[in-house]
Amino acid sequence: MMTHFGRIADEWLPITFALLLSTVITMVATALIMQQTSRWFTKSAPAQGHSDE
Amino acid sequence: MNNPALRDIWVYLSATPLFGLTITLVAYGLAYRFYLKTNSSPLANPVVTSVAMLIAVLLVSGISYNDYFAGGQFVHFLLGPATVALAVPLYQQFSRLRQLWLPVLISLICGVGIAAGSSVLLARLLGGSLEIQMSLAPKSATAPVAMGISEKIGGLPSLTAVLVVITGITGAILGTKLFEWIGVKDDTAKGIAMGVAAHGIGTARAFQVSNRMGAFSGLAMALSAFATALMVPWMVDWIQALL
Repeated sequence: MMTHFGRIADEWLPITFALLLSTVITMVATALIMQQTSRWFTKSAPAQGHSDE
Repeated sequence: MNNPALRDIWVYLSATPLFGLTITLVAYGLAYRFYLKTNSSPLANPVVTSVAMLIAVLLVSGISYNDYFAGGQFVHFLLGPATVALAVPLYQQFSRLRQLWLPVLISLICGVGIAAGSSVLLARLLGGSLEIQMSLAPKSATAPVAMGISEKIGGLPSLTAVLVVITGITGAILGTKLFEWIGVKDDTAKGIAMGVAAHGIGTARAFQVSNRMGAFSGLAMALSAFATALMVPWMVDWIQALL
């Protein structure tokens, strides 16, 4: 980490924004895709979340 | 440290590998109690607070990371069996998995593609160098896999390791709130999204929500590491050729 300190200091903006936005976009998109495809491909699957605890 | 008994314990522990093990367990125990006291707020994620405590202890005491890890490695060793043990809750969800294998597969491929593609494109858009873009590309995969991919595609593996941890922490903190905002209530969908985007740290958070979310997050974490290794080297070449 300390080896790359200079580079991180120079490029903190693209690193920070790309990391945060990409993580948010990935989570939102994957959850929505999974929810929608579950509805398409399963007729009897429960839509509401419930755990097996 | 005025108490002689405490000082004796400190002197004894700091000279043995037990020190690393003890402070790791104590830090996690305290972090978990703090997490429960905050009504399980994702902002008080016990992984984040225990790591912060450990860094503070090492900085204040002047103990090197290598000396700490002589004891910390016992916990590190348990990471292997713990990962294998993720198969148990997944087995308990096997009937649901059989029903949902196609949605899981589609979401996984899309999720891995979006994670790598969006990070490279956003970094490029904001003026990041090629090395930074390549270091960010595998950030949603688990650390050992991500570091290997980063090295292969021209990134900086040690920087990727840091980005992987920050990604996991971000996902674990924001995940449940994000799912609430977008109206996703199905624990299976939430688990898959958490595992794809935030690997092991996200999976630990998912188990705090429910067994089903944790089981599917663990599955997504393992499969997305495999998919990332297959897809990302090809994807980044394709993006570079296209832009």
